[in-house]
Amino acid sequence: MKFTYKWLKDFVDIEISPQKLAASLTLVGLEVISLEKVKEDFVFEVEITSNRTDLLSIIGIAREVAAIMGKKIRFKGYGKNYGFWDKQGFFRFNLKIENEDDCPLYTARIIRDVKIESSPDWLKERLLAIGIRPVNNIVDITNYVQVSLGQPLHAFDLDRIEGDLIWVRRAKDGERIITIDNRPFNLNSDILLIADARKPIAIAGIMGGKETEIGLETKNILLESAKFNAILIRRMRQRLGLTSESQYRFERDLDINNVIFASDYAVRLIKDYCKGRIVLSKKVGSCVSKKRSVIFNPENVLKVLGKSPSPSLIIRILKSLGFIVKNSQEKLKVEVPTFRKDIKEEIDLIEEVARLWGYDKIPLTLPYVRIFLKTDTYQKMLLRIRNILINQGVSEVINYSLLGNLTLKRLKIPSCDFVTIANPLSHQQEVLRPLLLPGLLFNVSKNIRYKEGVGFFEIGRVFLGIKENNFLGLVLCGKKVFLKDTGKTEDNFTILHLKGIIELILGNLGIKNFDFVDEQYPYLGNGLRIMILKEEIGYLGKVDSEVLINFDINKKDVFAAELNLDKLVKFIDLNRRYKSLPIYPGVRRDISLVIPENISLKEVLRRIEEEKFSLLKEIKIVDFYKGSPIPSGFRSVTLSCFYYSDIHTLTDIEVNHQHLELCNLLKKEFSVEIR
Amino acid sequence: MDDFKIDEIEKKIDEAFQKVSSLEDLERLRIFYLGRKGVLSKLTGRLPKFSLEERRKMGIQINFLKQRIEDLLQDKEKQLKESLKSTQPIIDMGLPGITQPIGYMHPLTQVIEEICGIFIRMGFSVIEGPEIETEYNNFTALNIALEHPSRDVFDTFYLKVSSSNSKHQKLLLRSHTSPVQIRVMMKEKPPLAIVVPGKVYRPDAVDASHSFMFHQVEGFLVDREVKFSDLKGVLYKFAQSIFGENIKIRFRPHYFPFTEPSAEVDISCIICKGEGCSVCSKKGWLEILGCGMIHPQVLRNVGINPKVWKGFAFGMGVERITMLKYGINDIRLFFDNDLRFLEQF
Repeated sequence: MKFTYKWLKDFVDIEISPQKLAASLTLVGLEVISLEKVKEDFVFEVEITSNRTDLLSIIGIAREVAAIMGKKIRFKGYGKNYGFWDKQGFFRFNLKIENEDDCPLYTARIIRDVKIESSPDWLKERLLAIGIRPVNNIVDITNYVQVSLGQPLHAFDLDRIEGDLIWVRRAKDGERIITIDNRPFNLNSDILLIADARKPIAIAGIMGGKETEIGLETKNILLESAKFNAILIRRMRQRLGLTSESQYRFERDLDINNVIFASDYAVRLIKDYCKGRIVLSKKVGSCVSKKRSVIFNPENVLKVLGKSPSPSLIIRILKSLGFIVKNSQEKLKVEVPTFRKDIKEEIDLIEEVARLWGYDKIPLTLPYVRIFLKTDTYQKMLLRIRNILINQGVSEVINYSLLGNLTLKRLKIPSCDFVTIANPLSHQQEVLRPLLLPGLLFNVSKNIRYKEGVGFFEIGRVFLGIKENNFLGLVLCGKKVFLKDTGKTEDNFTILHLKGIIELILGNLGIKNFDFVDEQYPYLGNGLRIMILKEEIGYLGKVDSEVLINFDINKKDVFAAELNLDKLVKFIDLNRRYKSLPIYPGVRRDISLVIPENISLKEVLRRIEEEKFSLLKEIKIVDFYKGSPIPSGFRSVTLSCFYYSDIHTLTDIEVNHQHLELCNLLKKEFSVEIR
Repeated sequence: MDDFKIDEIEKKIDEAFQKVSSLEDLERLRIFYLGRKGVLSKLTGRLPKFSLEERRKMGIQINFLKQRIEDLLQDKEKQLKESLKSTQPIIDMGLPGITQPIGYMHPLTQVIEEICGIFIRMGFSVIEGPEIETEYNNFTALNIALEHPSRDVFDTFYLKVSSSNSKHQKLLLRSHTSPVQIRVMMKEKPPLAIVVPGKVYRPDAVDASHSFMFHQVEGFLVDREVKFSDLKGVLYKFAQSIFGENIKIRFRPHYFPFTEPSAEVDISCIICKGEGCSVCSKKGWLEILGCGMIHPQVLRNVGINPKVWKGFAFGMGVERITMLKYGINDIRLFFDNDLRFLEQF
């Protein structure tokens, strides 16, 4: 809402500078977005919140200013009635409302012999200052009154209205209108019209028709001032895609009491600046608006704010805003002016008091927060996961949850239960992501151009059906490059790096019974399902090379994994029990063996475990090698075995016995050669 | 050696020490003189052969001698170690230190954790909510009428599917984190002190300051005696923790359908300290969040009696706070995920 300093002064005396006024308005909730000097005046732009329809007028802002400064509102030329309503003269004209829900009140003034010309300079300057283009004296006056009093008006060329009738009705299918901005609209029964006996002459509350527009040759006019249903205007605006200053105000539910008030003001201005004589004033509908009162207990101000102005100050503030305050025992009965539709209950009045008293007068206190502690394993899990990943050199990304259908095609995913957006703004926002991989591949594609290797993870929601789940996504591409004391070292990422990170996470979360099982995924070259007990938790694998080309990643391998965190959290065990440190020395024996490549080490380890060697406390693979001098089809592996007893120091004989058995088992069952 | 004299020995000492060029030589010399079978030990061993008078005299001489040798040993050792230091290979400290590569947490995650951490220390708990919401939770329950202009600031992405349960409600991507207030208050009994971090969505065209997806942190407290002054105190402490002890804070009346009284909170501009600059559009103040006392109608909607319980709520945009905190001028950087950006935080 724009207005000027001088224009505002027509309504209220102001003794402070425009800058000070701007600061005061901001502090009562009318945030001044800009203040500019234009010629001899100052232009204010104020953000009006959607609850304060009354502030879409200069008189409304003047009321606030009057309340801030303890002044009275004044208004030149207010109070005089122009013409007796509905007194039948020699001039005949009829008004009809089809449905009073759509239009509770419609008024028309017929003014004859107006002289259409350019508006006086002061009027043009005021309109220009707030960004309204002057047209001619009649149109300018309707705009001027709309800004001054907040009530939109419309003037028709009376001689172009056919049949001495104004009919406020819904459009019939197939009716058409061309609006004054030269746009044609096909209408239907969702649209409320102002029509004459033959045709639509305006889209009610939004814009007039071209045909009855005021022009230089106009002599007689019909001036409309009415109240339209706010929700209806809103729907019409959405349906037609047509907006205007008038529509903006009607959509915010205007005060019915303002209809005639504004019409009177316009008539006076028209008489002053356009000549003309008023021959008829007609209205249909009801202009009754019930008086509303709110019971207000001043003691509640303290309870809500933590500090309260005195009861007499509370009453003074309310009165200054136009409320009528009556005492009834300890409570107050506060009558709400009709222009304050936002005031419905006591809390609304408390806000008014707080606002004008000043939020800065409310002290700073700290509440007594009663313990409501949610022990949140999920948050604890996230913290651990993020820490591990960062320590492993993987960086966190946040990608959009919305994707284009094309992206999913690039990923070779057959479309299934995707959640689609009904009103996307672009082709990049059509679908809710069913997995994290596409975003992560974009990240790799973007960063791998200037990095030898990248590792990314994302924690976020994925959507299948209307179910959403928290997922962890992980990608590695290229190589890790770092310094050793001998200089630069490189380490190409493989599936084992990914497996290592996942094992680290699962291990840290206290999960032991996990497994990787072969599985087909459309976007993975070789994929593995991550299982915990019998439940599928996610996947890992090497991303399909065709998919990589689709994402513009060339000549590089990408390894990816995703884990369903909502499932994972059910398996985590963050409890730890201390195990006593070894009391006796243990014995470590390494076995270097050559084993056929087709034998799975997972199977070998499983078999050893199954045998339950009583002294073997730990067995792990500490080295592996392929290539010369190891014959092809074989690889060499070093197993490190740790023997320990917690009742005595082991003797060589004891260890040798079990170690030999272990070696024999390997030789016999896996045809390995021990070196 | 039988006939050597203390004087003779003493004369040779200096010469012997001069010849020493390594710590090993020095150790050999120490053993030669002071060892178990060394010169001094032998001298002392011969003492009984002499008269009492001579013994006394020689004893003193031997002690002097011992003292002298020990001093020389100490000096020489220090000297040798000094010279050794200067001949050791030099490490060029201009070379980079050796570390394992580490990763970086996204700046938005860092700021979300910082914000939530502040409220957790005040006694709040963290709860998340779904990103797919019902029209009821996102709007109606929060006192936002579906066909009212107050809804216009919450432009919303709707889904093509609708909820199978609860009267086939329209489903949407939440346009703010406030529906989590509704979910929590429907399920839990007050007192409540909750913070809710999460993603929200609004169909805005993307530019340097708009994104169709962004993050909010919502917070609310419900108890028997909660006052606007408590809200002011809590948010002041919050602003100080995030932006520094000297920050100034201002509460400006505003309108939100789900709070009353409502306020927008400004902090003194962190760039110009309130003087007025381009970041704060010459106002000296920067808006950082919206807040207010929970509207009694919202409490009634979730079955909490507003005559008994009161509450405050606040919500802030994480991107905005992060941009202010680090001087980031383009919101798109957060979702571009360029490592050269991520590695700065």
